Amino acid sequence: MKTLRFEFILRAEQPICHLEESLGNSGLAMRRKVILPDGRATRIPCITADTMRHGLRDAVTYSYLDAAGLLGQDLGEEALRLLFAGGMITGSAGGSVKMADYWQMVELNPALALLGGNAQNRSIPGRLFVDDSTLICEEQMHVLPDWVREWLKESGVGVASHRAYIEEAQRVRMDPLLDPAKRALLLPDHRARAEQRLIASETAATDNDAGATEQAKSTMMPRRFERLVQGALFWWGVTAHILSDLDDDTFKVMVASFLYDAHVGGKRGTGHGLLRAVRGWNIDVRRPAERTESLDVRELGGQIGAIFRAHVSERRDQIAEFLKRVAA
Amino acid sequence: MEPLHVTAYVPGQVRITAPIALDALLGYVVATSSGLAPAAHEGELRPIEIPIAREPGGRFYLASFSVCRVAARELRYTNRRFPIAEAQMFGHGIKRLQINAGPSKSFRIPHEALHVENGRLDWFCIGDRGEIAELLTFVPYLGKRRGVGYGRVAEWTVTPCTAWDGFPVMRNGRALRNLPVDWPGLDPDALIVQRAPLDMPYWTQTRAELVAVPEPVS
Repeated sequence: MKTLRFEFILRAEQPICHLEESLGNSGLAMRRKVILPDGRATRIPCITADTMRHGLRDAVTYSYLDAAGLLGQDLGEEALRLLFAGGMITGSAGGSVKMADYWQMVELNPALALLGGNAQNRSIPGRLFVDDSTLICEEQMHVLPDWVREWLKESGVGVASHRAYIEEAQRVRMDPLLDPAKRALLLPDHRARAEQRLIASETAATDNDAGATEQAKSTMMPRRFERLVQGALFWWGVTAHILSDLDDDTFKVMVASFLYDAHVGGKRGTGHGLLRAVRGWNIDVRRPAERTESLDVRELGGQIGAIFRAHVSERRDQIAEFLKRVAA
Repeated sequence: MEPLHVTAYVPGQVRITAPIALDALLGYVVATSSGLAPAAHEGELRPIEIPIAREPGGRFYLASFSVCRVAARELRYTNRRFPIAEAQMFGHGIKRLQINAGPSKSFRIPHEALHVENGRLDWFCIGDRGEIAELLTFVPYLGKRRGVGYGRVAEWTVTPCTAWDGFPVMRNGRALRNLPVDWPGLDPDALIVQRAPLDMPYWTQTRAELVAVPEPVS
């Protein structure tokens, strides 16, 4: 067994809209409490490990389905739940736990052995540890590893307070009925109704009648949300216990396929969420004397995947059968 | 075998509700590195040897549970959503999805994350320093929800230390691990008694008995 860790500096190529909650029409960015060197605690924006881990699961699942020749074929609810959300204990195997089922499951889906999940009546513990993406900012310099601080220095990258990396954006969902050109497309009775409502709205506003204004108001909706600014840098790490060459290759496929097109958070359809790895670091925990090696993140994808793809491809029929009958 | 002080430096948040047993951590590493399938019930357990001395009666290992104090707490949430976007792509056979109940239900579960004082957890034991340090390199995270970054250990240290009266399982009459209630030297006024296993694995409730337990994490 060995423990393998990859660390990366990620850059937000687009603003990141990763929200914690919303108050009224305002979305608040995800934050976590951090203890500062002087002992005070403050809340600093982050991208949660759950989000990063889901990205890894998503990416390796697409690679898995592709290698098995199942991409584009229909899957059942249980298979979808297992592959994309980690499954659910269903208790379908009754009171006994079948060890053979466990071994078959991780044999047919090597990523499941790393990520863990739930299937049949068994919870499968994972061997993958994913960190929150830590915003590189003044307040968190003390938690960054030496190699990140050195890279910042060498690259001449300045670091500001976390407040500098958050901005508030506003978007408005328009009401198409306010546009005369679009109203012209309506059926005659619908157009008449829309125009009556506009007149009612104007009258209510003139009369200062709050109740009538509420009833006749348009569906236009402004909303505000906090987002991490484009160009913000993050330090992110992912660790796995590796038991075999297949584990090693699966882990690398997972990380490489995620980082190839890493999107996190919401509003992805409107230019948010793209992350790019700008620097990588490979740490083999079993070799403390030569603890770290730099990693060319652009070449990570090209070097790996042969063992994973061959393993999955050879078992494509069994995998198709397994995904049909799995209870998860 | 010598008296040892083990420290984990945990700079970020950790999810622990009870002290962590050092022998259980080492047992986990030995089991994982041996390729043992995770045991789901007592019948699947296999004997595991770790480089820590046992007490003279052989009932448990001479290793404490973690010692720490809480510096800060934060309420965080675990969210799960059914992969609806993927179902739209690959689930043409799915006629209806129920997401407010049943196995595909979405949830948002609150939980408490902690910061420990000075970012460290300490253990005491009598064991083989080199072997313990080697095994602990395979423990990169501590506590619950390790898979999503809680309890990341930045560094482990294992150093020889001076033993005190009751080392390493008791200090000032208080239990530092699960001990028999009649263990010599326990202060009756500071005794916290619960039903729990005396030895690892501590999740096997069928082996539970009345024992003196360490103070809860606070």
